[in-house]
Amino acid sequence: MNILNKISKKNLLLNKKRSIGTLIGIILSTALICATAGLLTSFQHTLIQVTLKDRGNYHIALSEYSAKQVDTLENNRDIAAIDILDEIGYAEYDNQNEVPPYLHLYSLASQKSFEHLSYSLIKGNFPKDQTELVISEDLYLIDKDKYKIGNKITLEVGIRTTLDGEKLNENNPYQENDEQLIDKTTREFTIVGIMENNYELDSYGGVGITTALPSEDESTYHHTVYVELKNPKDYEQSFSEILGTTFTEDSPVSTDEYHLNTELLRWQAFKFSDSTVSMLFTVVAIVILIIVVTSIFCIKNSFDISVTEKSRMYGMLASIGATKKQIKKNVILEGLFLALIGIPLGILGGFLAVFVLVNIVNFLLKDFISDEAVIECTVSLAPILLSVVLGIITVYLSSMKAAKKASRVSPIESIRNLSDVKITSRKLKVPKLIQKIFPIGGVIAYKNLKRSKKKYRTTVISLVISIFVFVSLNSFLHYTFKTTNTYYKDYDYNVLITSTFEDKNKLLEVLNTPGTEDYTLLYESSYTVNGYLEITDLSNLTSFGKDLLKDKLCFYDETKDEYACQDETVSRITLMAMDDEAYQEYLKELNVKDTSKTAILLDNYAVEEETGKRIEKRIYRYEAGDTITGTYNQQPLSIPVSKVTTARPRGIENSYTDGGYLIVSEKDYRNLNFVPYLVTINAEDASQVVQEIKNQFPELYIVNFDQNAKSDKAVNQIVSIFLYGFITVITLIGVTNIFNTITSNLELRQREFATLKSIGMTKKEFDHMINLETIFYCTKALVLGTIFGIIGSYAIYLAYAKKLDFGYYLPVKAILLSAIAIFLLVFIIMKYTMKRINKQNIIDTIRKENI
Amino acid sequence: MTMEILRVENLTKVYGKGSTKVVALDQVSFSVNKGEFVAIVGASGSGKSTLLHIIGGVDRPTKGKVYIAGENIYDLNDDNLAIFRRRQVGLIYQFYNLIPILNVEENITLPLELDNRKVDKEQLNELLTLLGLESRRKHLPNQLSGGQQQRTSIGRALITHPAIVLADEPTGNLDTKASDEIVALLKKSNKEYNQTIIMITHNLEIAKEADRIIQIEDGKIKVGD
Repeated sequence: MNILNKISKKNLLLNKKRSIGTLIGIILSTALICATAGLLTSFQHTLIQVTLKDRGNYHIALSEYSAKQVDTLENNRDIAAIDILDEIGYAEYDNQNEVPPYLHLYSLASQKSFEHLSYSLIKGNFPKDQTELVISEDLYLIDKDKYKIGNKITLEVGIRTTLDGEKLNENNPYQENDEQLIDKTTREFTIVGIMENNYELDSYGGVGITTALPSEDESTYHHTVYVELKNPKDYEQSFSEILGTTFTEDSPVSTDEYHLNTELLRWQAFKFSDSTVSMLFTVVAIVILIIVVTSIFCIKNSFDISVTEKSRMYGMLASIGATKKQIKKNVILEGLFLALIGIPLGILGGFLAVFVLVNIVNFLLKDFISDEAVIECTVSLAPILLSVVLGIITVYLSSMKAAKKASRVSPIESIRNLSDVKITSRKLKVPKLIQKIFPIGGVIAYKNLKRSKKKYRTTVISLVISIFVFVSLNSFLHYTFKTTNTYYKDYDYNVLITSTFEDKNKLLEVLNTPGTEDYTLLYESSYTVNGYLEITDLSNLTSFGKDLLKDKLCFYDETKDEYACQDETVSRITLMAMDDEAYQEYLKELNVKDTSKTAILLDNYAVEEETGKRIEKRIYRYEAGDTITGTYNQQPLSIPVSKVTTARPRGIENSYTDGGYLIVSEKDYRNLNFVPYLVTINAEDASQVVQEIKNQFPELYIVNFDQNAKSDKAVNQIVSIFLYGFITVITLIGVTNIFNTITSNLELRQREFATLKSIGMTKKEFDHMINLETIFYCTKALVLGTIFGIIGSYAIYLAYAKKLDFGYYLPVKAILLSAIAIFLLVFIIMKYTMKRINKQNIIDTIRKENI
Repeated sequence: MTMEILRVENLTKVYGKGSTKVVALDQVSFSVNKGEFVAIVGASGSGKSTLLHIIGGVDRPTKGKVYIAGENIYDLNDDNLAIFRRRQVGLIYQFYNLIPILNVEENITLPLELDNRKVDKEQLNELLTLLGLESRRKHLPNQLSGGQQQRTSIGRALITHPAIVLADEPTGNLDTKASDEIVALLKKSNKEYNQTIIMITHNLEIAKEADRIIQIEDGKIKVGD
């Protein structure tokens, strides 16, 4: 073995304490990088799995695609799989007076396609051939006996057209007297399975699918052709080839010809993200940056220290003729030895952390998520590679700097033992204040700090970084919790039902269910087209309200073959009513005395500013006491306003329209023809109530807010586990770093201390001096760390502000906490080291030449 | 015919500036022939250590030239100077300056290893015998007495057969018995290998063992030649 390698190896073995310190730094930072990246890939993998189950395994769906075109697709090497969905037609069935009275029938080429497109079975199997049928849950629920598995049904299948014979599809709403079924043929199917509703196939839900090979005839058109790409990251090129036109990131995601599986592409190719995802990425990027910077500093410090300790040795090597290159190589080699051990251990630790975290998360979430969404701990190559590369770069950069320092050690300086104490000759004035408060010990301590700044720089830097990281991560924690909390405000109800009944009495039947006594009923207008209070006198609008009407009225100009838009001349207020009891309660809350036939105007429109902040603006100039005059269902109508407010009634807290809401009592305005819209219930046991209503009225759409809040709490717990875990590791890195720098700094000054004692400094004076030094540089570090920490926390705030509207918060608590922790930590480490140093004999230490 | 191995011309070294200016060496010139054993003597602070460091290529002069084996060593860049040092100069310090983690044999052969040269076992054994360290070859510096450590550092200086050996107070840290041994050893290598040696000492008794004495006072040569 080369002599330099030998020196590196022996150095590491003989300076075990230092080597282990550096090693811990390397292991921790590699583990942190690996765990962060590993968590990301695990989440990505899980999200892809969930999306696959949810949306199906395809990237682009092509509508009305000819069999001939499919032939070319089959030769395309970028394509992993093709699923063909054919439309068989529509069949009339008894839909119990709901619209439309049709069942929509499709066929898929094979049983495999059902799985590939993730149609989820509730019961039974997917059809084997064209005599078998799987039906949607909606259909099954209409008549559970008639549509049960094993039953045979006979259907008259035909094509839906207008009365003129123009073909209609699932996108055309049902028009009772204007459409027909033609070319009917009789078909018999055996029901073999029931699957979840798939609203992509038909928004009305009545769907049946059989298995039949697609027609080979080149002239036929398939209803939809689903294409899965081999490499989703190259989607732009692949889609361009498939569509025959240039496809870019900015192309529409859905047209008449195709639509993309944007959810899947979002997680596989990281494209088509919304602002939540981009905010998340910004935050994760900042976090990774903090890890890398902290690690580099920590490891660099360790190397710096060991070089300082051995600077005498490097000087000797230089004096007997070792070149700079040789000394550099020696230091870097030491780093590589450590990296060789530290990086693999770090990666193992990182994956262990991912494994533990993922299992905790799954445990906490087990009540709230289906088995599909269980997070899988995936060991993929990407985080390993990232950790190895970043780890090596970190170690290389850190040791490089130290190596340069070592190679610069001039032989004469090390022979004379001058290297680290370069004292400037300029006069040093000790401030009067310090002289006054702290006598001799303070003066020496001050001079020490001022004259040999370099000696303290490493310690101060490592303290500053620890404070900075702690303070900014605390803000990260604060904002993350704030984000999760804003999504679920505390409502004073826990069940929300969207009514599908137009008959109030039928809805009241629902409200007979025990536990639903405390309810509020919200009505909307029964006139779906003219169910607004239309205001033509625009002088009552604010300038913002007028802006909202600009370019709203669009029509298709056939002569020019283009869409043209002009300003809307009517402003529409949505009329809503409450049952009288709840309305009176609402008035009381708003402090409105006048209760006769009045209305409450909800006039706040939320807009997102360019900065990303949400602000609320008013649309109208109406104030309390004014009467709003307009037309309702083509009849003139005037309603007096008793209050303009932003306090919304139960159920529409988060709904906004272009024209605001006018809330009245249903009893006062019965002539306006209101129909039930929303019911909010404050139930004792929400899940029991929801279960009972669901059993009796499966057609109602019910939300259980208690369940949401519970899962929200679990999400909060998970987020805190991650963040606190993260803070713990970062703090550990920081503490290792601080311990390393302080102990070595004191050890290097042993001779200086011994000299001071030998000339008669008492133990008390000496301790006083050391304590003052500690206070001086801790204060310096605190001031700098706090400044940087506030900058860091503001950067994190800006990343979050993209999405949410809350102000900056000064992390006072974190700053105070770090101040206390830093002083405590430093004093403990100082005391520990000084105790060890004090045990040594003064003269031995002074004489000690060969450290 | 005598051959000049070292020539120093107008060597000047100034530390500091303005009021703190100290002239450590002032226009020093002399030369040494191959095989000579020269002692440099002078009081503390007279500039003798500075002179030795500059000759050894570990410190740079403010002005002047140093020729070793005909080459001006300060015309060389840092790396070449380091290589020159390990091939042509052997340094012996008062405090030995051994690498604590290497044993006697490794310390001695270090300059060769740095130069990627093969160690001649026979030559090494001969040297160890000369130094009286055969039985200590595997010991670490902290397991040796002061005299033994200094002998190791002499071994390290001699192993490359340098043009000159520079010894800076080699006996300064040793008792009389050990000092005598070291001086005897230096003389022996001077005679046996025709090794040029320049030694700093403030002990006139020891200086008398040399072929020639150069006395330095306030950075100038006082009595010479």
